[in-house]
Amino acid sequence: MPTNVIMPQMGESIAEGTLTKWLKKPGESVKRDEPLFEISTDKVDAEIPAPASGVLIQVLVEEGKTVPINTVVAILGEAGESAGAGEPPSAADASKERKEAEPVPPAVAAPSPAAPAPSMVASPSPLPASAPPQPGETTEELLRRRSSPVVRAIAEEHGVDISGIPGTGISGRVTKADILAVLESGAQKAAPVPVAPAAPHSPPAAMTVTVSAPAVPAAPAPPTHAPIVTFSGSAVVVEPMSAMRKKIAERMVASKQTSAHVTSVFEVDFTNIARLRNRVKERFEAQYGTKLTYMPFVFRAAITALKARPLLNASISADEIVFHKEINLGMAVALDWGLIVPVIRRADDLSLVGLARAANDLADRARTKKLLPDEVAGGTFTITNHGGFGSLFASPVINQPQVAILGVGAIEKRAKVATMPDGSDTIAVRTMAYMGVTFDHRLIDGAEGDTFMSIVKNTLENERWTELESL
Amino acid sequence: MDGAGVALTRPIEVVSLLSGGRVAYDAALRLQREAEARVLAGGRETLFLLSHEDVITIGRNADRKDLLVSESFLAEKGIAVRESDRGGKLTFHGPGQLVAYPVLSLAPGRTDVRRYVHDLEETLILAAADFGVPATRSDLPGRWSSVWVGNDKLAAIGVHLSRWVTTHGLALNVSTDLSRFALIVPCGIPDGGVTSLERLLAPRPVPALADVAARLVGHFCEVFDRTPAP
Repeated sequence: MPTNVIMPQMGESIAEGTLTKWLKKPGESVKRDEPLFEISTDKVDAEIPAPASGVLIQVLVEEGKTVPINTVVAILGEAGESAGAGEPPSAADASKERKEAEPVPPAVAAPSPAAPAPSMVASPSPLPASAPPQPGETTEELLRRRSSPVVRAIAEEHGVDISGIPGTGISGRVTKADILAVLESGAQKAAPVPVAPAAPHSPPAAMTVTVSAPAVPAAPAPPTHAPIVTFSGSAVVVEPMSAMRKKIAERMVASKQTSAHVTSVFEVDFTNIARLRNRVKERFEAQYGTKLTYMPFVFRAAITALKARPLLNASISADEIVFHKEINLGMAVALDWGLIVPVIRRADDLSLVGLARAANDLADRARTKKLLPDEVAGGTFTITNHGGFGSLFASPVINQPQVAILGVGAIEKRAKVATMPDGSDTIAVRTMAYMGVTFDHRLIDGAEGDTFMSIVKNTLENERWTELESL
Repeated sequence: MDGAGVALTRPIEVVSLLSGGRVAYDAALRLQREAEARVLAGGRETLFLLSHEDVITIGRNADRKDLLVSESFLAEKGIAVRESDRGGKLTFHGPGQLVAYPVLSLAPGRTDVRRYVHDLEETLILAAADFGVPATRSDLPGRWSSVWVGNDKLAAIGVHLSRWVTTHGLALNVSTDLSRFALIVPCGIPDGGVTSLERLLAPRPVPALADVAARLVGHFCEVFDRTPAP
């Protein structure tokens, strides 16, 4: 049974490798894990072990050639076996072999160099090891073939080819519902498969009594709360509300009556950013004349996530969803006399330095009352740094007509549990923060909100921030 | 925090050969091979610190044309020439240069060659900064590994991986005889010079190799989340 040997993935940002040397000649036998060839990427030279024991039947990539990752570079087989007509096995053959083949290095769709790493987060679970990329397979086909073990088991039982089913799951994955629909439609000879009801759990009867208020009022009534207690006389000092205070009060209540607020909190490791920032902040300020805070990093992470999940950069207009092509980031600035949200327009066009400048400039001018009217309008998404006051997590109010707001909790060193290579646990000191997204559940479901947050988290933890490295 | 977010704090054995004199290239290679076998067998990682006798090493991607003089000429001068299974092109090692060879397992969690090189660069940048030298990465294509001060290269990087276990590593010019680099085209980059901490710090005194090594180890452990084994 021939085994394909592929150019392995040597890192997320690596799209290709140069095969520098074959350590075995065609006809020679090799044991599994014995070095078979050498590759070179960047300043690194790596020995690649054979994925299986066997005889090197055919070398498909010569020494000195550079090929994309996952390219089949050779075929291993048993002694006396030939590689057929000299062609790599077809995808259909390969998919049959999948179970016999040794696990091939990371089964990840080849990232194009232009694709930002965070886009990989869009598929939250790692690919099953049993679905290595096959030669000649497009990314789309790979994504489609990827499916849960349950789906594969059903497919196997009924002899269904998963790659032929249009998937409705993430990235076109074939879900259990998809495959059951195909079976039921009679496309295949289908034995009925018991299906767990997908309906949400009904709350226990006792709970329905206590939760008697309607979850969604048919039409929001104007607030008519009568004051519970009236204070008067010398016990109080009465002051008229400022115009700003009245406006804030009006908007906050209006937002709460408009949107179905839900908050989801992630914990984000800022250790890498903290180290980088400590290293470059003085030079950054000297060179660019503005302070380097954590906020530009958060803005950049939010921009990356908003590009990937544009629903969070949308608005609701009656029955329609309005997607905004521009990312105009509102940043909540606390003032002694209230709160204002100046907007960084087209924030996605700005570099990290540009974001730092814009944020510091807008905050300064907000505090000195020098903002222009245009600078507080047109936001499509808001970020609030409530952690600046020590708050760990908060559930801020959405700034209408936006549909989401990102909160940043206090960024501080915490003791985290890390697992050692031998499986024992130890305590590590990491710079951490809770970050929460509050979103409008009318438009955004929990999975969407959490996918957005996972991109924010991944960007903050893993982005390279190359602009700062040359400082 | 999920598992992927936590860098492991593994113990690492720091072996300094600096006080014992200069180490021949072949001997250092043997030490690394032994350490590599230990790590592949699940044993403890090692960070070797040393300086070499004069040697020009030829990496996997090297063009021998980058060697500008004959090997017999080099032999007369007492400079050895060795082919090496590291990545990168030609470089020179000799007295006054701090060489660090981390024998690490990048799995799990760090299986990314570019990240590894990046982290070695970070270690070098932090160590150079401790002595007031602002080393940076370069944006120029073809030069983006290793660290630079202006147009001059302060250190060299070349790595070998076997099943994600690293050998070879980095070489930082502290007080290296820079004229030796005139014998080769370092790293195959003809238009960039080489420099050393000594040259950059002059007329201030150059730090001792052991002092630079101490800083390098500290930053290495910080960047790689390792703890020096007792």
